[in-house]
Amino acid sequence: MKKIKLKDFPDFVTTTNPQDPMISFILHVTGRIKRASAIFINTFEKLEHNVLLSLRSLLPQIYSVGPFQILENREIDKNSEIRKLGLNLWEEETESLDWLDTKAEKAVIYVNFGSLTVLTSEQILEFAWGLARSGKEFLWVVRSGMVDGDDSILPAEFLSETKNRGMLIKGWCSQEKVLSHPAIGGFLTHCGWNSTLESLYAGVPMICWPFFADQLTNRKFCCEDWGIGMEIGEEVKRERVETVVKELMDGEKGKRLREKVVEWRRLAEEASAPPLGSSYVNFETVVNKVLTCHTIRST
Amino acid sequence: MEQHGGSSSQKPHAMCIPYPAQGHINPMLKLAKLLHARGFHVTFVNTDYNHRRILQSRGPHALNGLPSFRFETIPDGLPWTDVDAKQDMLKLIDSTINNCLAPFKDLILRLNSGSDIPPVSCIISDASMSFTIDAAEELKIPVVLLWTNSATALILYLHYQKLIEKEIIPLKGTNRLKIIN
Repeated sequence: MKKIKLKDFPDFVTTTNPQDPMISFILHVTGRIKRASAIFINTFEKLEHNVLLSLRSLLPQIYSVGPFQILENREIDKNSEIRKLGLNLWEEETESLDWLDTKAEKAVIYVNFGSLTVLTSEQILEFAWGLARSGKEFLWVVRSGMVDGDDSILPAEFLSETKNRGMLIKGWCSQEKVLSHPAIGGFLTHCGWNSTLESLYAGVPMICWPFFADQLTNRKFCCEDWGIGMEIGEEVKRERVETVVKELMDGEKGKRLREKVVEWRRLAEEASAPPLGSSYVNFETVVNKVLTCHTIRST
Repeated sequence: MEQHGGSSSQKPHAMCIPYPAQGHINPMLKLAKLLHARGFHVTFVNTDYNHRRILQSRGPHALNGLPSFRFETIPDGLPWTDVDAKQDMLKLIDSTINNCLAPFKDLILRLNSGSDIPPVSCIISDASMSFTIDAAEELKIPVVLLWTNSATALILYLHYQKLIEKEIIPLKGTNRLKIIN
């Protein structure tokens, strides 16, 4: 495994508190994980090849089986009852997909900071005005509780200036459907692992603004190793948001990132493809050798 | 399990339990569906709090399940709150570690005492819900953990112990940004 700086570790590492509860939790989990019969990781071999090699020397029972989304699309009928089961904790709207249908290809930037990120009112204003100044069309999920304090912080001037090219979702949307919509050309994201994989699988390049935990590590890999993301910097400034959004959507760098993410998407599909894709084979192995052997043995 | 005297034709039954946050629930649900597609009976375990939230966000029938894909709940151990009130992350972590094992085991025993579904034959658990390892060892069934972050995040977390031993963490001083840059 290559060297990694402490600043790219999940940020719990930067604690100065000897009794930090997150550190205790991490030690609790990592201390017990060896006892598992097997460990599924939602990743694929080529994406984290060297890390997976090193990891196997510590935990031989790990299996890369991702991205699950591809296996799900391949193996579960889109119209089946099972496929329709969902567990979103916020109400999901669908009008954004209709709105996207009216937009040109790769014209819209999708903005979603995930289920846990909390922004300050200054940060949300910088993002808002950065998006407004970019002149690009955007779809922005503004979850309840996303802003520390007042949810209705977005000023009237911003709303009126962007009313013809911005759509705000007050709640939740089906991110996989949004990202795979042809109108989406970029994703401004907190770099949660699910969002990262979903963006990769949709072939959409990212602007990375990690909030906490492993999101910082994901940012490093997206921007420095995999070539699928651009940085915005820790401190959000509207000028920077404007520049990065324009560069991602229309610039040369954006073009390069888009080519790269499409290549990763191809590798992800290859990993999930039967009969020899690594994620497919790993999943079969665990199902047949670990999960069903007990049933057979006990008969 | 033995008291059922299962036959070789009996379906495997997976208990799937995510850590109770959206980013952990989503991949576990996909995994549960994939197991169902391979012939598993699935019991998907939510916390009571999230169960109530999902009924609110998706409607009263959202968790009726299917004959071979059922939803169950256990308490997370935190005091009852309205679903509009956000749960405190640190309290939730602490609570799942200290309070979830007993109701989880009770749920498995209750499911196994019924005759309409195959006995629980394996546990698929989020790695952050590691009390399930104790349950699996006690019941002598396999437990497969789901790590919902990258492999890199896992290997870095596995190195925290070494960073502590080398006295790199906790960081010393007050300006942590200066130190890490």
